[in-house]
Amino acid sequence: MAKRIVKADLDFIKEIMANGGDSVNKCYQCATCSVVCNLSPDNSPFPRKEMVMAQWGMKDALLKDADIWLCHQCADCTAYCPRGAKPGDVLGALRKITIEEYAPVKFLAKLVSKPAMWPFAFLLPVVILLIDLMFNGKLQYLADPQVLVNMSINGEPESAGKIVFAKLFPTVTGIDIFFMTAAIFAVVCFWIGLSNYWKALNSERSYPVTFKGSIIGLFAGVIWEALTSVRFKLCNTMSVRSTTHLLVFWSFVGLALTTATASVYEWVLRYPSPYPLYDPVKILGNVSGIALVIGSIWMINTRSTLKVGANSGFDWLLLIIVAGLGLTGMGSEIFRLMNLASVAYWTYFIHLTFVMFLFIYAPFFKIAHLAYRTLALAYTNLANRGEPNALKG
Amino acid sequence: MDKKIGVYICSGCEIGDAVDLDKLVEIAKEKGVSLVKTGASVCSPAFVEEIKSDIANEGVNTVVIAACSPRVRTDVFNFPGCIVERVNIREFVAWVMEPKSDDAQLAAQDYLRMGIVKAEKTNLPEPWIGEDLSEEILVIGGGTSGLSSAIESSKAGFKVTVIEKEDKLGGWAAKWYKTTPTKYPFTSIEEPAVFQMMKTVESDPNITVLLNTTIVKTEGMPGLFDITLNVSGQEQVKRIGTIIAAAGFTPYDASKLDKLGFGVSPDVISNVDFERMVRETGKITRPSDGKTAKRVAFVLCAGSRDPEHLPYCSGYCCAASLKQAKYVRDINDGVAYVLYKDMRTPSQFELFYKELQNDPGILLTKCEIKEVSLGEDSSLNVDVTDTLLGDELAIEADLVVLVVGMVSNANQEKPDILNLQYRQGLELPLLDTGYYPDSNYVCFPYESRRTGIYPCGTIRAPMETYGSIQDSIGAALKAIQCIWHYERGMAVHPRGWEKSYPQVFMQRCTSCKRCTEECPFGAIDEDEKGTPFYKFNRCRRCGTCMGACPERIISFHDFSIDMVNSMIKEIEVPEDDDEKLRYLAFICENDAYPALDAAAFLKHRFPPGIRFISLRCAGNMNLVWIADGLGNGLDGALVLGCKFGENYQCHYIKGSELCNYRFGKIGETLDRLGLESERVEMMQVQISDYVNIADTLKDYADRVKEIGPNPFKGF
Amino acid sequence: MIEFQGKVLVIGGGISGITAAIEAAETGVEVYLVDKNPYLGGRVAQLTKYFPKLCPPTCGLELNFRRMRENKGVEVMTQTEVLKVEGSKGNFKVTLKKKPRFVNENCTLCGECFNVCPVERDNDFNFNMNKSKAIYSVFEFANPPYAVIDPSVCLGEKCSKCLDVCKYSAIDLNMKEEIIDITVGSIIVTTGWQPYDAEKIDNLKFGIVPNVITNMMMERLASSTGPTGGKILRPSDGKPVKNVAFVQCAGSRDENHLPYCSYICCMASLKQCTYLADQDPEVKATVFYIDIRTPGRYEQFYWNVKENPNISFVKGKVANIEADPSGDVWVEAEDILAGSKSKEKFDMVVLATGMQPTSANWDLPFSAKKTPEGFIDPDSLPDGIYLAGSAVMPFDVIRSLHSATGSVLKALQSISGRGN
Repeated sequence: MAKRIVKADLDFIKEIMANGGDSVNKCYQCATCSVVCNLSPDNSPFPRKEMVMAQWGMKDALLKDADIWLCHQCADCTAYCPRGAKPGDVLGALRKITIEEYAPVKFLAKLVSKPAMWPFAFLLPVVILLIDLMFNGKLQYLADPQVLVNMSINGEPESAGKIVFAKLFPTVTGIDIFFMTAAIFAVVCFWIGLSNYWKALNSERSYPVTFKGSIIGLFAGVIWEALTSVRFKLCNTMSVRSTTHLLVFWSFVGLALTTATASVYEWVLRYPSPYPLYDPVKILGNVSGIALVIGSIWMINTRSTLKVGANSGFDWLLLIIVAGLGLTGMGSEIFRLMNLASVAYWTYFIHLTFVMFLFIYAPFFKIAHLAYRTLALAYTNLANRGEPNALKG
Repeated sequence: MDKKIGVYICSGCEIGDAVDLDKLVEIAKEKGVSLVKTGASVCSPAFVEEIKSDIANEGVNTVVIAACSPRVRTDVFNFPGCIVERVNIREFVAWVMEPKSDDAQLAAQDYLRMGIVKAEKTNLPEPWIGEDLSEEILVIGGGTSGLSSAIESSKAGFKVTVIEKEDKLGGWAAKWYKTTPTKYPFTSIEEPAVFQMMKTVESDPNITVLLNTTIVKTEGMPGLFDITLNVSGQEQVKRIGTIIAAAGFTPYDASKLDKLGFGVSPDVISNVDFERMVRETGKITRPSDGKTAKRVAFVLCAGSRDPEHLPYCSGYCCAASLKQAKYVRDINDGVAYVLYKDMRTPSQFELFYKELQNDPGILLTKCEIKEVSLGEDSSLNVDVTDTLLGDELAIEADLVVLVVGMVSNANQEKPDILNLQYRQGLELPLLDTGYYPDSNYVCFPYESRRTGIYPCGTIRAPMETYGSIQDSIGAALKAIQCIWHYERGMAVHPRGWEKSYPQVFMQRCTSCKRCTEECPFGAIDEDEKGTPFYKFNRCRRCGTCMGACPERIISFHDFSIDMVNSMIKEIEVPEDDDEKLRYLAFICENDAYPALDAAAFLKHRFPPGIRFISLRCAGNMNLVWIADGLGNGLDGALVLGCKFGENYQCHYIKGSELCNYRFGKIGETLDRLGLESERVEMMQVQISDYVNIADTLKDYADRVKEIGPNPFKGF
Repeated sequence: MIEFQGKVLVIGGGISGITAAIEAAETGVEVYLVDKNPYLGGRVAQLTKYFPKLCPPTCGLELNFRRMRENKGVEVMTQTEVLKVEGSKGNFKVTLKKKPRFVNENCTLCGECFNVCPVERDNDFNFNMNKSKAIYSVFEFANPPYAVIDPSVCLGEKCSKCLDVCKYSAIDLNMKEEIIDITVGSIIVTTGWQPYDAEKIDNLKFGIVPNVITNMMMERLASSTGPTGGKILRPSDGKPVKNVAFVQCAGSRDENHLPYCSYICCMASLKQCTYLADQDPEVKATVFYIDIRTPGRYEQFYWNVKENPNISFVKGKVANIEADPSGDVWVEAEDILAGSKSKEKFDMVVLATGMQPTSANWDLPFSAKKTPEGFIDPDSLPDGIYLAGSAVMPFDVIRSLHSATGSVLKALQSISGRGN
């Protein structure tokens, strides 16, 4: 048994409290949570031990505790907690702190960290998009997008008289350059953050880790779990979340595929948007878009009624972004089809703001859980504590 | 009083089916009773009216009811001014013996004769009421419990004197900075209630406070206690009615806790010193260098729950430590480590725990302390194991507080509280388990073994402020109730109705000291020669002295050696039948009797030869009865008393144990008579043993049968 | 000579109420003692033994009943509820509703009627673990010692079989509810507690998984007056138990149920471990706990129980229970000190359910505030009305008696300037 020197970091406790884990101190260590959690392993189960470590301000230990990612915040623990300590929320707070801790550009992490900063956080994508418009000489159209309707793109007459978003944001110079750059930035940040985290997970390992099989197989397994939402399905209290999460998750996948296919249309087939409604890519995009809207609103609704993670701005931000993304995306299309040019262009602008937001902040806010959870689950699988009992034969 | 006996025999409840009532009427007449009546239901209103009319018109003043158990229908057979003797031929005969058998008939006849003889020898009690009885209450101890009981007694209109050995009132609580909550919602720490109490006491004309005062000696008895006080060096004598002993506790000596680091550094202190420091200075600093203590570790159960120190839990410390942890937060904005074995905040105090947990600077874990040692920079290291965190922890602290428990001031080497001038010692006797000056621990918590002296608060169990206040109000009621009783010549618990008292035929006393030694309540003093002096207001009327007396000179108005001897003589011993043996069974009226009643209710079969005689307590049993009984040809004798030992159930605490002790000597007596000592047994029976008591009796009867009939039969 | 004048009403005939009543009566005041049940003794009447002395509660009750018989100052009214309290300290006008017992004081409990009664009812005194007839005696030592008829199942006059066999004219099927008005100077409320409804703790599966019982049911199982005559047999198949789990804090210390600690449950489970050990020295028991709370001398009781190698303690609350087809019960907890989850099979599981104040479901006949959990807030009571026993907060018997005795002094203060 290791001897741990206690360096009670009260600021860390306060940080947890400020990030949605305000109930952390209420825990009196009955371990109901560890038992009602279907995702918690038998050996050294969570979240009871995380709760006491959090109460004792054990920052170092918690920041390299992969178990916090085994938690999918089903809230079974929170529902049964006799003290109202909401372990689910506390683990959510720890995940947030973990993401912020390992992300490389702390300034951006700070911007999305607190609701009070969000307006400034939104300012950044807005400014980038305004620069984009300026760069493409389109800024003046933002005031009166109606003018764009009668213009034609690249002198192609068939585009005149139609609402085409490329008239505001040209495909290559307006979209691809800016968004590709943002994406590359995000990927680099992710790489740095994740490799830091991986190092931390592997320093002073709490659990024996054995590598077996291939890395690809390992991650494929983890990703397959995510795609099928197997862990979420073990939730009792918030069983609805396996559905909502799956809906949002798959709609993202659908939208990613849509974007990829659209790129093929654009670059390979030289088939510019907008596409007709019967086009397969359009159908995929619309179905995914609708699923995203339904999923995100459903999620917001369950959050508000079940009061799980209700204090976590971290979670709310992602929900806002996802819902905003879906609503403005669908809105752009609907307004375009309704021929409401100004509204359609403005909605599109907002939509791009959400997309840009998602791209540049991805390594710093909740969406990053995609990457961190995948990594941590790969780690816990190696440590042979990934597979919940309920999933074993 | 000239007795006119009326005998009323009931045939109801299957009695008529089991025995021949006409024969019983004959038996009563043979015993010289002229007025004998039978009824189908003696307890019916009509029949009771008939009895009343006999009392009014025929001059009946002694009523013998041969019917059901005296435990039932008491309100019906209530004839003021008359002696009422209940002969239990329902539970002891009709329900437990073969109906219409010789056995049942003989048993009923025996019981009826015994009852009539008993009635003949019973007198109405004349109470002993002392003269110049005091109604004043003395409260020992000016702390929370003492002042609270003083104030409550005064509110009921009683004069109270509070004595306090220190030079100011308030006790420990006045040395506290704050106390744990006493009222809903039990979330906030409070000003010690004792300060308000001190003000109330000072302005109450009914309450006299004597500071710097101790008791030199306590003499006398309730109502007539003469207490010699030492008031600031001056002795004075005070007449007092009853005493509330709220002499409190002493914190466990932290210097014995070197294993927990006491002595390692001046910065390892007790919770008492910690509390005092906060109260006196308003600061939390390190004694070694006067620096602010930012990190304070509270080591709970320091000495408590420890076989090497205190074998009990001091109860109050967990909540009190949370309170002190709060001081660390509020005053120093520091970190408090609360290191516990089990967090014990029972009842609503859980809400206090819940509230204080919310503070992020109060860090709690269950653990065992491994070592407290001096670290770098003169800070302290507390190494703990078996933690909730799964690892051993090393905690750095500026100050370590050993949370020591409470030791009753009655449980000190020289308590020096009451200095009773009693034959049986100076102070309140403690329970066998050591800590508590208590007697009937569960059901009757105020009954100390020193009548008229009621311990309350932390003298008798570790308690928090709330509990002490509750306890002390109850003690005040008992003290007042005691006054009410002695003013009427009545005993106090458990025989609160009793007006009879022991009468001693002193001319025949041999000063053998058995009575003075055995009285469970220390009610009998003695002089140098060993002559007993009864202090009746201390007496609980258990009759243990009567049982102890080899000279048979102690009796009550309604119960005596002679009476029982005469009853025994009424048991007919069949001489020609080796099968029909007779056993005498003395039973405790409190537990064995109801157990037998319940067994009878279930129609269990009793050995037909058994004859029960009910006693106030097994301690009331005098060996002479057994000797006489066996001398008269009875084949065996049995005593059914309560459980004794650590978890005794005797309402008189020591009665059944003393009976058992006497039994240790019965061998000699029986040897002298040439009888087998196996004929005689003492059994411990609890009321719940009704299930198998019939079997127990049968087994006993079989054992005696094996020995064979009493060879003295017929002599 | 001191004299206290006035009358006191004690509401609730459990051990606190009985104590308050007789202690008051022994200072010469007249007392009404009312209880809604047809018997006195309340919760303790259902207990097999008291901790820590392991003595039968009937022993103390018996002495108190004796004191009441001899004293004559206590008028007992069972099956009686308080409808209304008007007036103020010194002069409360109280309206009581006394339900009909249908059996009068002529009853000798001969039992003839029980034999002929054709209908059965769930025996609520034994937590419905067995049946009694519609006319029944609550238990062997019930006081008052008369039979009682349950009108909800009795067939009434058209049956009248009991009437036919009763030799003592003790049965009166026409007995009516009575409204009784009394005037008292002071009122002591000792309404006590009821076991928390274990079905509400859904993860512990009481009522769903067979052989999950409550601690109060265990008391009845162990009692010679209980449904099994004192043999601890599991309910589903009557098998003697060999391995029993005790689940502490079943509902207590839980803000979803009872936020406070119920005080007695740790000691009750330890005591029940001794019941098991007495019955079969080989029997195994495991106590799952958060904190073992054995204050004061109770600690020694804990030590004694711990000495038994067959009794083990696991720090960690049971949070899941499942049925095994054999009738056994799976119990899941985290063994915190071992740092791992445990899932074990037991013959029977005892939920240490806590105390809910009876007042939580009582429409108070006087004005006072209740805490969110339903306790009456003593500070909100009108002058002259006092609270005692576990109506105040969860108490063991000893603390209940402290407060019951103290409440008598409060009552005396309010009704009587003592005359000299």
